Amino acid sequence: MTAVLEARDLGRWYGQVVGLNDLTATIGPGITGLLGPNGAGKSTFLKLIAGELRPSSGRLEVLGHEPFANRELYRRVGFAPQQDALYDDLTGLEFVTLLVRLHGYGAREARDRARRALGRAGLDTAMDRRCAGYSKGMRQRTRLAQAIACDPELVVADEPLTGLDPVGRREVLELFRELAEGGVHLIVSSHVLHEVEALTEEILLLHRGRLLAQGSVGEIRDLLDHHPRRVELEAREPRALARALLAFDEVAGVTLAPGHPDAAGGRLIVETRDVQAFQRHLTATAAELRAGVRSLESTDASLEAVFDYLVR
Amino acid sequence: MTAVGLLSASAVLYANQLRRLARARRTWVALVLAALPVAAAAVIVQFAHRYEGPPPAMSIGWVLQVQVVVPILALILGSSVVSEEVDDRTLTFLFTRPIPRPALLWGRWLASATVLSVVLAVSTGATLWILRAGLADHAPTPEQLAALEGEDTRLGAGVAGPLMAAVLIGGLTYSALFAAVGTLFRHTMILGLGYTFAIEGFVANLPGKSQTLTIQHHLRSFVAGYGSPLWRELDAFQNAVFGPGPEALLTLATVLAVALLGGSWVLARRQYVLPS
Repeated sequence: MTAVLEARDLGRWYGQVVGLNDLTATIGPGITGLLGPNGAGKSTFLKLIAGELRPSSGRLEVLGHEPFANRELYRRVGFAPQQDALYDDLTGLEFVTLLVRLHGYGAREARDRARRALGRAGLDTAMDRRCAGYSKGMRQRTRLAQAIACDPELVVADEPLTGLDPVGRREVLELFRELAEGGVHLIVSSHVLHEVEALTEEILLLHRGRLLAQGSVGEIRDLLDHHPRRVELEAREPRALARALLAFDEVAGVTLAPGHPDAAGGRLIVETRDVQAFQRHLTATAAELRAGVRSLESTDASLEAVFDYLVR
Repeated sequence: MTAVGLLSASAVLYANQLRRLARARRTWVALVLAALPVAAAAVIVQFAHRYEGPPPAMSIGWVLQVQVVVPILALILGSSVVSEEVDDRTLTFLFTRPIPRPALLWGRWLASATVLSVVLAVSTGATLWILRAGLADHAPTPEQLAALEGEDTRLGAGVAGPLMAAVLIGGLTYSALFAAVGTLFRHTMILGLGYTFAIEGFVANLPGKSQTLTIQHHLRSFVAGYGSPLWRELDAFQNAVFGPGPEALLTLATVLAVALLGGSWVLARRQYVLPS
């Protein structure tokens, strides 16, 4: 298997702020998801891959080349950046055509390529409108179109699903799968686990500029399953319910907290190793005790919390 | 398909930028500013009396056109060449193409310089035409001029040509300078305004050698060197130190070349960190 990307002790600082810290990883062919909460270093990593930034330390090779200011590599890589920026005074077609022309294609060929790419990205009917009038999702699709218009070997997409509605997400995911089936390698970032999961098995987990884990989604999930989740609930009889819940194996701890001032009863914060088993037991126990459970909320289901757990 | 060369990439960016500038707000602002000397000329011919010494075309052409309109228009059109791409965060799209990075500066600057030159040429030409047509009856006789200068100085000769040349050369030099500054700093417009008023507006008119550090000084030397001796009689040139015309032209060309080459050097090496 030839590596698409190899990073060795890769670091990038913005003054005193660490964007990426000692990252060592190898990315193979196909689709790879780059997962991490906001501020994890995903965009920095992708900008280094796309050659927009130069590493502060370490070494990075993409398709066998160092990327920064490497014109030979730019010919083979398509980059869809995260920033919501287009030439608003141009139409989508004019914008993509301009960028394709900068790959050395003639006017007609560039226009045809731009048209095809915008069509693949789902902008058939909107490509002749000015970008200023585009919705967030259409702008996202335009950025994708310019990335794929010149048939790159590698597409690097930074948060490409942000701003898309559910139908749009499905279409873009389908486009990524098509590209991968056609032999294109993709590196796609997201801060939402299920988005990446829907696309690929191979993921890199980043957090605070560091690589936390690399592997298949299954392996990462196994890792996460050991993470005690916090569930908050409000009940009319919190003390009785707390005593009963502590008897279950999956409950690691229960804390009593003041409830809403206008409501009788109180609030329980439960730490559990198995949310599904806990919910089954809670339903039965609450009914048996007539505990009057009013609300139930998982407070740390966010990816940020999961990452916090992984770095502890 | 190989990597794209500097010339072809610059040509693509030039054509695109020219089309964009044709409908850009900054071009309309430039047109309004360029109309000021024309309007001033139209007002002056309404109230003109017989004059002696340098014709009003020189005063208006210099004070309004070269000292004010040229640097400000060059700032409006030149400062955006690179900094607009940075401020709008669209630089990523151009910097991840297989083109030499300096093509961005060359292509976009040439487009700005084209628009700037056309606007300035039309504005200066219209101003001179209005003044020539409106003041023909009020001009001093050649004898009066000869007495003033001690030599035969034909009115009109050495005024329009050098003024037009100074306007165009000044526009190109200032715009290249502001474009180059845009490769280094953000908020080029604010920096450029500060430079225009503090250095070109103030230092250029101070007595002594410090004025030689300004573009205005070299433009003055250029018109005085290549134009009518009447240029030296202008009130605006009271504190002026004049250098030889060819040297002034060479200095201006050097500033322009250094600005473009320096800007290209910076663009080729610098990383621009754009917020996501």
